[in-house]
Amino acid sequence: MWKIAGASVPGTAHLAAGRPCDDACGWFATDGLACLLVADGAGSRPLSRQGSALAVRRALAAAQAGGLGAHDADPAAWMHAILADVHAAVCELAAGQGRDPGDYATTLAVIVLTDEVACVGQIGDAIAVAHLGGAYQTIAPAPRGEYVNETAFVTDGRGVAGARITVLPAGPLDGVFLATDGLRFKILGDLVATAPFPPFFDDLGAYLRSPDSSAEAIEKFLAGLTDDQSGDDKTLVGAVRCPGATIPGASTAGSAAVQ
Amino acid sequence: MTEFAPRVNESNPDPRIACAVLLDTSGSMFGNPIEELNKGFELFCQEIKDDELAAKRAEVAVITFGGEARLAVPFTEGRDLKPQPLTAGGTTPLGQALNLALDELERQKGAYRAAGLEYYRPWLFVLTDGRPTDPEIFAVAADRLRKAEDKRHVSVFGIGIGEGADLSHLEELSAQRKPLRLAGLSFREFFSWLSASLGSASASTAFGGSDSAVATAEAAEQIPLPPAGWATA
Repeated sequence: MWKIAGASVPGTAHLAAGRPCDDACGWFATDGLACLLVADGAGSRPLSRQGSALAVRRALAAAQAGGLGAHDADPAAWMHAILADVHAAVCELAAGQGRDPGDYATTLAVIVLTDEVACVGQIGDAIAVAHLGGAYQTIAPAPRGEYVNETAFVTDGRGVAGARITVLPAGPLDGVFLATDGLRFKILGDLVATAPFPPFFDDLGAYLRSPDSSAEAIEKFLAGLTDDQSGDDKTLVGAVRCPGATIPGASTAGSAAVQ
Repeated sequence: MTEFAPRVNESNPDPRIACAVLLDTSGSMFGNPIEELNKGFELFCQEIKDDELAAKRAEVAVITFGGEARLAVPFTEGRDLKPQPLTAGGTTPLGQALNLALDELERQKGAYRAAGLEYYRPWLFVLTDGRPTDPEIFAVAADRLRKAEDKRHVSVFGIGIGEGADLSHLEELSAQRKPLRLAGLSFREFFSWLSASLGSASASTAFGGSDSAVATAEAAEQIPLPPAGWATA
């Protein structure tokens, strides 16, 4: 059984400028199927807050709709279908509002956990970390460097086509974690290599396993992390394998509902 | 509610904003103007230390042009800046100074990338009361600067010193921004504004690990600069 919690909070620079939180996150855990995801709405786009909220809601629904077993044959293709479904939903919303889908630009990172695999789908620069065989490793980090074009978005067809999809065996996996890039200075040990900072993930995993861990406490931690060096919105969601954990209901947190 | 207080990495380096300040130290600045300029820079060295973010994120270089273009202060973190008395004399080789500044900014950005540091778009300020005495070099350097700014590699601010300054050549430095005129010898007001502006920039999220990432970040957040009270209308 996976135990999951997380939160999104507005960044200090966003608060100072009177801007809302453009990040969103969500998760659910049922027996045999769990999902966690984060989305980072592009601050430069007018409706990115709605974009990130819609992406989270839609991807959660798509992951649940498939149900147990739907993804066994080809998890990567199934993940691609989830991302394509989110893209289609954004295009539909944009068309209905007479808008360009790019107005809703958002990144999206999704992890689906079954008894057999962990399937990770990423568009954009979220940070995905796996606790695998006793070590932490970043899963398919976003490419960096001078010749990399702009951040990819799920609201862009090219972003969906270029999604980074990784399938890991679930057996040796103890925990998986997602964060938006606003946390990079604090949770990475090496920014260039996008390598995790192990003490943070040790503490996060231990906290999530504690009996009274809560999303509220994670939100409080994020909100109190004012010297985060990025000033950006911050989102963190973690899932740990936790035998005997009570089964939480589906949860979402973060950004506001789509208007 | 059990408190969640994980250990976080406190040792990742902050993003940097490189700021090249080009100061006219030619003969026409002799006397009161250079004295006021020195007082202004001295104040700047103090005020930038008082801004917690600018003190560690801003890196300032001073290039003087009086007789020759000279790197008077190599790129130095705000918290380590020290006043350095400047003297006036000689011609106004502004073209050479622009080339030197662009070379230094490119070198500095390369150093950031090599060290894995993220950065803001660099700033380049030119303060002069005269005309360039190296017009051929100036024409090429000004073209180079305009192109660099058009590619968002640098933000250029031209400032004419005093009522008599001819702004026409400063207008050649940027297609994005018109030059301003310093009211009298209000260097202290200018440097105080520059310190506050570097503070505003340092508190923004308009940085990234490459020029393209910086451009994307800038699209999301305009850096608000305080009113330029030192400029004449």
